[in-house]
Amino acid sequence: MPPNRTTSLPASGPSPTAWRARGRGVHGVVAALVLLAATACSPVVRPARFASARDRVTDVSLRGPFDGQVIDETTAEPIQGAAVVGVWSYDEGDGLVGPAGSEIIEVKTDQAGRYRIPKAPLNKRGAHMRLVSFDLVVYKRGYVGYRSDRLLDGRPRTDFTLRHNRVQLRKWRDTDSHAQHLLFLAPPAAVSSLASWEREAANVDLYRELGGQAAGAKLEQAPEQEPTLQLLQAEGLLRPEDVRRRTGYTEAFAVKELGDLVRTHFYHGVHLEAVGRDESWDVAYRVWKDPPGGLQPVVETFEATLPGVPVTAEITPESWVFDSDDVRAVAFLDRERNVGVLLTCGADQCVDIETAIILTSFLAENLDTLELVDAPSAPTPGRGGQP
Amino acid sequence: MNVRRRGSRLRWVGAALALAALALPGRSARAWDPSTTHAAMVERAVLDSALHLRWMEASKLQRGLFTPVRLDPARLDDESLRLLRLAMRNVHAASGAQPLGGPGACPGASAPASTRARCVDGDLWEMTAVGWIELGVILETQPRQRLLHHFVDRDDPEALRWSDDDLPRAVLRSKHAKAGGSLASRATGGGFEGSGRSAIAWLEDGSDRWAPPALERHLRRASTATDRAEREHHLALALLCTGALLHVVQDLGVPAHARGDVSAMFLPLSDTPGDRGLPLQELARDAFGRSGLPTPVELSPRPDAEVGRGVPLAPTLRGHVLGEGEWLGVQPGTARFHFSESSLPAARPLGAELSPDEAATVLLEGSGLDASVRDGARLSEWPAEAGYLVGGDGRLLAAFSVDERDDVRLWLDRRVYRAQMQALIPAGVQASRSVLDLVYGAWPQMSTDRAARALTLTPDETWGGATLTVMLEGKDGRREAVSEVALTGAKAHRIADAWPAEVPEGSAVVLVLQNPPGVLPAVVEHVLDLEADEAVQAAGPAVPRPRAQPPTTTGRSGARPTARPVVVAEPEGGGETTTEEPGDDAEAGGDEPGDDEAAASDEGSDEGDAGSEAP
Repeated sequence: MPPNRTTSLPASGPSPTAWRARGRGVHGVVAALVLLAATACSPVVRPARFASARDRVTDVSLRGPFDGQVIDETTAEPIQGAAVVGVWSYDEGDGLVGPAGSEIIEVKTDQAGRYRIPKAPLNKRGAHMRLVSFDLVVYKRGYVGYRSDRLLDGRPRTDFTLRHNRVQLRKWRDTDSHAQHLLFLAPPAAVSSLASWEREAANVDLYRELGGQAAGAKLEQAPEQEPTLQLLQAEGLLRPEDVRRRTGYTEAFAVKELGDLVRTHFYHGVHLEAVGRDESWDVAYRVWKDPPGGLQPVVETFEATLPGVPVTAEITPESWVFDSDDVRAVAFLDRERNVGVLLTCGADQCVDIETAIILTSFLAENLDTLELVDAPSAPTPGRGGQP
Repeated sequence: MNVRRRGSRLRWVGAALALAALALPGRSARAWDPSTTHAAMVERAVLDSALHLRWMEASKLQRGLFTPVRLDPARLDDESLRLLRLAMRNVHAASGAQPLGGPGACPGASAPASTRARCVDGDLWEMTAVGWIELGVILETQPRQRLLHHFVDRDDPEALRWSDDDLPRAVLRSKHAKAGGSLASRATGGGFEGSGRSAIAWLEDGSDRWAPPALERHLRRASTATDRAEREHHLALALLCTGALLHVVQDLGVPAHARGDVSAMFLPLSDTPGDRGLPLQELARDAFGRSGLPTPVELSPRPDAEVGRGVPLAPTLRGHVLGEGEWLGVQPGTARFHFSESSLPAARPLGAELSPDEAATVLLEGSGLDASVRDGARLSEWPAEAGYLVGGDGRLLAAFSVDERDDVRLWLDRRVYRAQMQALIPAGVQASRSVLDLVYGAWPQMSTDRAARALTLTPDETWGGATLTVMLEGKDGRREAVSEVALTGAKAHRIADAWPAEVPEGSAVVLVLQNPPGVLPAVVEHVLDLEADEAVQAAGPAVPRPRAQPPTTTGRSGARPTARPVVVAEPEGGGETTTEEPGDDAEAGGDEPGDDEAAASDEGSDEGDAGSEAP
């Protein structure tokens, strides 16, 4: 089997000299057929348009292998469980060239957000088969997806690398367009099934972008005043005195917001920060109520945050309990109220896992106090953001 | 007269190709790369068009470009199914045109959950509307002989056939074989022997399963078929046909296609034997991928005024291709302004005493280029060993060099290709946008008077000769025609008692306008919003109440007319009224009460379309 051939387009069109040279090169039918037969198996591999790796000298080829890490753009935290799809695409034909399908590998990122895609299988064979592109598509609900060939705004991506590729996913913003997102993703089937929930929102988003009046009228007719942004209010679910009641802690808590996820009408993260103490004395909880994408993405968040934890029935029939030396965590879903809660507690505040479970049950008892409140300012109208 | 390259080299290559073609499988051809350039052009065109806006407003925001549409393989004939599967197998997976589901995608309940991830429902395929359009672009390359109707004749672009008699027959035969043509068709002379059906003929080819006449049939069924699944199935097929149509239109924006230059498809792309294709296509893919055309493709709509959203450039598809009114046309706009690889003027000697302008004039004799390009054309430098031929409009037309015989030979290099792409790709997008706006027309101005169950419809010329069918769509998705009215020109029509007095809960009134066969747009539908408060406008000329659905008829599901809907037409001012009595040619008790005349003929057409659709 001959080695795979990597060829490049000629630097310019066929000059007269080139025409003559090529004419001499095909002087015999036999020679041409021998060449064709000799190269019948392995595809021509077009040059890669991406680099090998940052600050490293390695061979670069469309064949791969590929590896990298998927992280949160804001927090730089690794993202576990992101769908990573590698697509090698082929063309075929001598003169009359056309698409000849793809080879696809799907993986999920590990706990460290890492992925690895082996070399192209190269199972597609033929005398005129060409491997013409490799595309990496990354999808994680709640984030803007990733493509190795272009950016969300349509510009070409230039920072994709074969090895040690860094995929920085930006959290979904309420101002993002699902229509733009789906067009950008041009998803392979594996991603298409994951992103199918975005279709309806995409229709409405594009309709608005096109200046559609029917949906806009409903938004614009009623309020003659400025629309008011509403936010979920979860501070009352677990108060400092509730914590003190269980743990006996006597010092002050500062009630703050967890800033890593944007507070919306369906999400609120509350941080009970032990004043003057390190974070092992802190308690924090996150609450999702009526998330636009349903509770499944909340479950995915739980599974990513509490890896390997089985579902139990501690708080509700769908609860997760995580215990370690540094932190205790309890999560649960209340399907009836369409609420998901994740509580984390430092090991000094919650000296055992039972404490964390009891604090969570306090919180669960107060779910009916969840409410929407007017935001102090309205930077962005809520429009289907994701947890 | 253009002179194409020929000679012993081509004959040798042709002989080799002919032999190889018998032994090796081949693939489809195209002028732009379907997975990148065509896809990006389609993407840009749908965003520039009014298609999404119109669909959403007509459906109470229920149908748009991202709506999943299901296609049922069981309703396809064997050949359509084979071609569709071929397209799905060959489409690049990351191009956004890979459907979910299909036969075998839904294993039994005992199968692991992970194997059901792409299951839709039974054997159905599902994809967004825009995805079906993009798959249609690929479908138009399956099999490859479909390429042959992507050309027009160089000497007579309006001709229904094109010919390329400059190429040796051995080359032509090999190309035919590679294009998927059968030995039998070659033996009978029915295959590619240096000529083919032109794009102009294809536009009106009623027997081609993806051509515009099929598109029209599927669009009608997508609105008028009784069963929801059947309507959706035909909508998917219509979208596939739309993609095929856009492919052909965009190909005619490539000089090799617009100038009938088949041999350009066989130029070497690298030093690897057999690595041949159209350099322009490869360079466009290589230079821009899917991200730039040649400027980055914004994935959001552009302003109406910038793109002419909603306004077709020409009233017919033929006009889009060949020009009509003020629109120059895709083919003339390409062929008259750009050279293709093998339709360059022949090499010729040029006197050193000539000025650069005079030298250009000599070179452009018989080039077939537009006077605006030839006038003022010049060589970038003359006398010189090499340089560029610059058109009167300042664009690079070709590179030139002087060979050992002191002949000046023209050729196309990257700079020229880039100049071509800068002009041709945006023009292709513009034409595609316009085609979409023509095929998926706008619902005319209308107001409703709920109390009187009356419509006031004011069609423009586009719908002046259309027939309005009022349909009732039940909760189960079944549509039934309750009345039909022929419009009588571009004026206001007031239609009283247009829908039943009692519409069952969960049912909707759907209005369908259909133009006569062959007229685009063929059909448009509008779901009436009976809940909305709409102003009662001044009544137009009165059209008598459709008698097939008397106002006293209740709207329960069994209340559909047992007779064929009556066609009532009355000119403004109360002229002669033509009515068709109920039951005259009724399909009494039939299961297809929604079938009007056009729909009935559509069914017949479907059957005649190479047996395309199973019932």
